[in-house]
Amino acid sequence: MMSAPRAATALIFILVNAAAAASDWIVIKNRSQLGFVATYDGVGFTARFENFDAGIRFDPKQLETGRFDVVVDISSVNSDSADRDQGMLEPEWFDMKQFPKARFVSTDLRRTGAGTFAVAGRLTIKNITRDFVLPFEWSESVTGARLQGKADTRRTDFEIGTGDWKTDPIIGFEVKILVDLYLERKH
Amino acid sequence: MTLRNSDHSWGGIAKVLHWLIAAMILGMFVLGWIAVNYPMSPTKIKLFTWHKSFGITILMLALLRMAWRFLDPPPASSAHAPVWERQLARTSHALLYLAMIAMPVSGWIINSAANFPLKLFGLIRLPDIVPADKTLQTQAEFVHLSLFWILVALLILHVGAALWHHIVRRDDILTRMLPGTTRGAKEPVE
Repeated sequence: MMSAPRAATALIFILVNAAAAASDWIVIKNRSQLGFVATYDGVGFTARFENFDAGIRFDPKQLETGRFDVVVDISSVNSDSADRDQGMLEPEWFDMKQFPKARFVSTDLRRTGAGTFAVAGRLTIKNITRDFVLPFEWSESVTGARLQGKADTRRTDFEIGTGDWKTDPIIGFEVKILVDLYLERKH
Repeated sequence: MTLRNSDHSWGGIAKVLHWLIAAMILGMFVLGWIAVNYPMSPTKIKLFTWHKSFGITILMLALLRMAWRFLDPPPASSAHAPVWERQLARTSHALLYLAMIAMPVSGWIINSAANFPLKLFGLIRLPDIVPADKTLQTQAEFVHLSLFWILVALLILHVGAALWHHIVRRDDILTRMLPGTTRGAKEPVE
């Protein structure tokens, strides 16, 4: 039988270890950005999603335990243009009424260099699911971490821009997804 | 026809600027109206690109025209016209110049406030003149549309007055602005 103090110490040790192993992170919303860069008439514009939920479990030393699950509220898109933001929700674009959420669920995490990683997963937009890889940089401090990544995709892969928009380059086909998350440890 | 104005007739530069801007304003009425009412599509964006590009061109031509008018004084107004007529002519011409400036500027404000890019004929990127602001955009749209109706009224007055001069008064106010006409010109024809 262990003495009470020793049992308590062991329990604390287990709890602390379990918490550390989990490596769950909370997104600091007001500093983080999740969005994309696209082009309008050949000129780039940046859009951000104001609302998203990111479940992030990540430990650079234990990649096999990592898991990303990000759900984005499409209606929260903001490109500093009320008309364009409204337009993006229309059926030909994100079709927000039918598909209010986009989601990314990771399937694999790997290290690609010093402080750089890549998360592979399934990205679902407008109910179309595709394999998606986000290379990212990870920097960690005592208090938190920062995850910065970008990846190229094509809007047509997710049927964003149907009808005439599908073949017309006035809204560019190439879209760069931008992720810049400031994180703090979940206690 | 000389390039400069004479006492009695408009010169070539003033005539070219007058008719070029006149044609573009009429074209813009049509283009703007179609663009606004066109269903959302790539074509709508292209119609607006042309509308914006011609609008900025009119702005530049109007500024050029005002500078030229300053450098090259216009021919005398009709000698026997009563004072109120001359004042009406002067005021309506001033308002036409004002509209030629205010119309494109208010359009530029709409575009900047809406945070849409402005590329002159798809080539030259022009800066935003106000920050993105939905309220300002709505206000500028109201001004732009109001100016459209004011400009329509001014043009009816302008064309009506020119025809009245020609048909009723039988003077040279209209003909001295027509291409190639030199009636009343003191200087010899080239």
